[in-house]
Amino acid sequence: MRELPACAFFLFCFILTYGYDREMMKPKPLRSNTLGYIFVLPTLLVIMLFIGFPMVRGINDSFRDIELTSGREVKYIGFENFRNLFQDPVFSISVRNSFIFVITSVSFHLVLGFLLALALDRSIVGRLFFRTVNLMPWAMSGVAVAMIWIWMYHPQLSPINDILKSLGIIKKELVYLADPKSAMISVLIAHNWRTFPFAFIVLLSGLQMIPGQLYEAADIDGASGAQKFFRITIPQMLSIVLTVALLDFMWTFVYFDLPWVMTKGGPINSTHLMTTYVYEMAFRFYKFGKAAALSVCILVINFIVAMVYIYFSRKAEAMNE
Amino acid sequence: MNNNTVQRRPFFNPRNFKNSYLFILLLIWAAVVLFPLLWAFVTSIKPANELFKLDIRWIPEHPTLKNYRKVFTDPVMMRYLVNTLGVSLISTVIVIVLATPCGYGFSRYRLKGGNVGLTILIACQMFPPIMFIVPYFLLLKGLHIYNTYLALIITRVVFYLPFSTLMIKSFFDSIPRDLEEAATVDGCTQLGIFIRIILPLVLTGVATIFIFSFLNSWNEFLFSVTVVSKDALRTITVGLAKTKGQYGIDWGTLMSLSITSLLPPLIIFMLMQQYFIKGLTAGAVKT
Amino acid sequence: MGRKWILFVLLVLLFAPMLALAGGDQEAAQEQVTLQLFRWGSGPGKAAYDAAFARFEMDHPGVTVEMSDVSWGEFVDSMVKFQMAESLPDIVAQYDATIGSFVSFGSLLDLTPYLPEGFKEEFYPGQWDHPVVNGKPYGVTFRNGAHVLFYNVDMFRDAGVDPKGPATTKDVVEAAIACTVDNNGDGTPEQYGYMDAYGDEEGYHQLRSYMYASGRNLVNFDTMEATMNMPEGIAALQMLVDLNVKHKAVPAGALGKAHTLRNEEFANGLGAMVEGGNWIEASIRDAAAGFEYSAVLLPYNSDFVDTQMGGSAAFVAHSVAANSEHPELAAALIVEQLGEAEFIAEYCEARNLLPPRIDVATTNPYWSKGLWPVYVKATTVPNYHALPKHPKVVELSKIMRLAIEKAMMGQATVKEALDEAAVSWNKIK
Repeated sequence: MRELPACAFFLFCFILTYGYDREMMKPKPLRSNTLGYIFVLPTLLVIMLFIGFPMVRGINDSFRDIELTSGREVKYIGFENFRNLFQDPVFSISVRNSFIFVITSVSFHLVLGFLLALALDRSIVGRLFFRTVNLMPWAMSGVAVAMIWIWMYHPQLSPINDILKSLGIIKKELVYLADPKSAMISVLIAHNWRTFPFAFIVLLSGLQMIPGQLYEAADIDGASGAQKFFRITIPQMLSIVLTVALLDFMWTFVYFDLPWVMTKGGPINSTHLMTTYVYEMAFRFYKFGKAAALSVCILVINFIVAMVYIYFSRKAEAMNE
Repeated sequence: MNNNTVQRRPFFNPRNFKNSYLFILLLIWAAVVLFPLLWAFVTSIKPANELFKLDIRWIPEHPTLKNYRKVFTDPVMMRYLVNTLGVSLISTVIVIVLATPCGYGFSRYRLKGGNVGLTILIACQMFPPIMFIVPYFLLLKGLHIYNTYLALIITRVVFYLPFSTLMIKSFFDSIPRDLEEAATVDGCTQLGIFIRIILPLVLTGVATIFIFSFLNSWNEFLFSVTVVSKDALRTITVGLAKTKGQYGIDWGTLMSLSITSLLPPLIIFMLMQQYFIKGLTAGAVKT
Repeated sequence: MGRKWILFVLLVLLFAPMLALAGGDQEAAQEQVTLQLFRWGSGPGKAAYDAAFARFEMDHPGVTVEMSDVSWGEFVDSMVKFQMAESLPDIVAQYDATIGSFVSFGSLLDLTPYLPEGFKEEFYPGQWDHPVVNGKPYGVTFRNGAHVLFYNVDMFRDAGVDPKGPATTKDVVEAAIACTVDNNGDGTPEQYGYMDAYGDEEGYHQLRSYMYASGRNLVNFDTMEATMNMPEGIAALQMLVDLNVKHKAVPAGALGKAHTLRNEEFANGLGAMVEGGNWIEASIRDAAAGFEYSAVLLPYNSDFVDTQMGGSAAFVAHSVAANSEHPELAAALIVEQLGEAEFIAEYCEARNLLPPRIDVATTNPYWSKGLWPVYVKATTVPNYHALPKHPKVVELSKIMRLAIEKAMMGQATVKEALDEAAVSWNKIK
């Protein structure tokens, strides 16, 4: 009985996606399905156990009043947490900030990643060097990157300020994280510096998978560079680009480490994302029910975006036929 | 372009121009990317009393390796590094072993509820991991595997498995089925086809998920702090957080530790470079 | 090549289970009792703990004490996780932001039955009082710090300011303006008058200290009504805002700096004054910037009351977990070792902190040298209160942080910002 809301939610998802099942059926070779199940089951089991289960608990918690007090009784309070949340002024600020953060990041990743993948797919001098350099930021943890950029953003000791001043671009030092107007951009720069390599590497491996014969055949037909790009590269990459866009959106939306360490919500909540607010609510104000409610909001937003992705990826598949 | 063929062209050829233009752009971008790392390195070799000089310098007056010595002679820090390396490698291997067959299964088999499985893979990345901290703590304590390497490995495998599966599935999707049909006709078992023919074709994909899982495992912080409390088991990211004290931040050690912990993943990536050369996979499909 | 990779994978998988289960909590032998102590930080002070544990283990055969620590930023999160699982380590360190909350959760044990006669009198009353919530002692203070005002004597002399140090907040503002020096006229000072930082959760402590030095706290201790918007609070925040915005005696960007940065900036000679804990002296010594420095009790606002009480505290206490299986032993460790002179003297000396015990502070020569008399004076006043021991103290810190930020950015006047803070607090208290 207590699990009812979560089960209803999952049932709803199942019904929604089942409708797409028919479209998914491509002609597949006739073979016994047992091996397929053996292949698939371990992974799904691990995921159901370790992610599905806590997720259901999280969704359930959003309908409860959770106290930290020893020997507590967990009371069911329906949509009270959500009502509280929607009346909270910081909630709308965090939603707005999250969207700004995510959409800016994902766009930047895709554009830069694609350009870099194209550039470093061809044989160019120092290709290994460039590939390595462009992967380096991703090899650092969010906490380390946050601290390095905090140090770079120290208004009086910043090398960036130093260079900008000597070039005459600014007169007074920039304060980066201290001004609500510039804090978000500063956090975005630090975040994107660290995370852009992912799109780059995935798009690069996607480019690798395009069979060379397609290009050779086009060459024989006398196609120009632009034609090869728009007729071969883009259609082949479309599904991977969409997948990267979706995953990047979801991951950035639930990302927490760097924004929290850099500003803890920022001057006047200007860098408070939904995730940092969840953390603050749970681990500072000890309101786990409300934090769960906010997490459910994050889940719903991601879900809607995933639905949009599925719609567009169907279209892309249709285009490929 | 197939880079197995090297063609000699005269210097002032439009192709060379485009390439050198590109080279300069890439160089500028590389400088931008390296800028913070260079500043971190410079900070790490500065003595403490030069850090707060208003006169900002890139070359320290009295450079010192003290911060690096502190890291390398500290057995605790070295232990952290070894832990992180071991845990990341093991969890990456497990991810590959679990994800590759799963991706193949989703790609090639018509499974009942197969679509639901895929939806689950996508859906489980929609929830913020911070909400998993307390449930994981309770779960691991309940299973008595709190404070073990297994706890670290589980939390890593679980979070990087979904993406890895999806990624490798899309690699499998792009391999035409004619190959398997031909092999079936030749009398190969399904498992045999998978291991001997299909698998080698997705090595780029495997390399991609290797890098993805390994780098993310290496950098993982939130759960590494949660699931182990013994110093002997901690990872390097936790060690980094320790430089932020209550009364001050040890900038020098922080920078040197950041740079030191950057090296192992980089070395591994450079070793994996060979899998990113086209020609490994193309040309294997004969139509 | 495929074979080699498969072999590698198999080897890893073979060794993985063996390694994975390594490091698990080994069940100790039957007769052994293990006490767990949990705190933040590491490094200096650990030796004091080890020595205390060794002494305790000698006195109590069959008992071992283990320490686990976590970095400062993760301490509260760890406490929350422990409380959710209702399995805190036997002894935990507690400070002002946590004691009220965790007593209200029922995590900590009332130590009254375990404390011997006369134990309480060995401590300064104000220091003893810190971990006392609702009249009961939930911990024993073992370290403290005084909030004082450090100043650079050389800079004062060069600027013509009295090297005796500021006594009132008016003096502070005048000295700050005088010490902000722009030699080359490029619009950016090479030397600032006052170092400041509000960029994290501890940033509002300074406001609290100045308010308290003028005789008022953020909240009324008995009724828990908000008092931060009373004239003392308004004057304190106005002074800080003026220093930052009007006089520009503070380096730009204080809202984005971690509160420990101002210590390092002062220690390295970037500015003339900094408010903070006496532990800043350690940073100054380490920086070895070569200037003469001194410290005074936190200046008070002479418009209100002549208190000169110094700033509010930064205590840490040892508490016993309510879920501990060996509460008597845990309490014994505290009473016999961690609350006794030997440990406290060794620990506080290593960490450059104030001892809460009267015998240590008055007889140990370490605390009679240099600036220690100034610091000790700040903490020996009877009602040396810190924060209200209210469960929602962390929300209060967020409320204050917002008020400071809004006032600094000019989004609200000081009075409006503090009134809003008072309203927010009264709603949730």
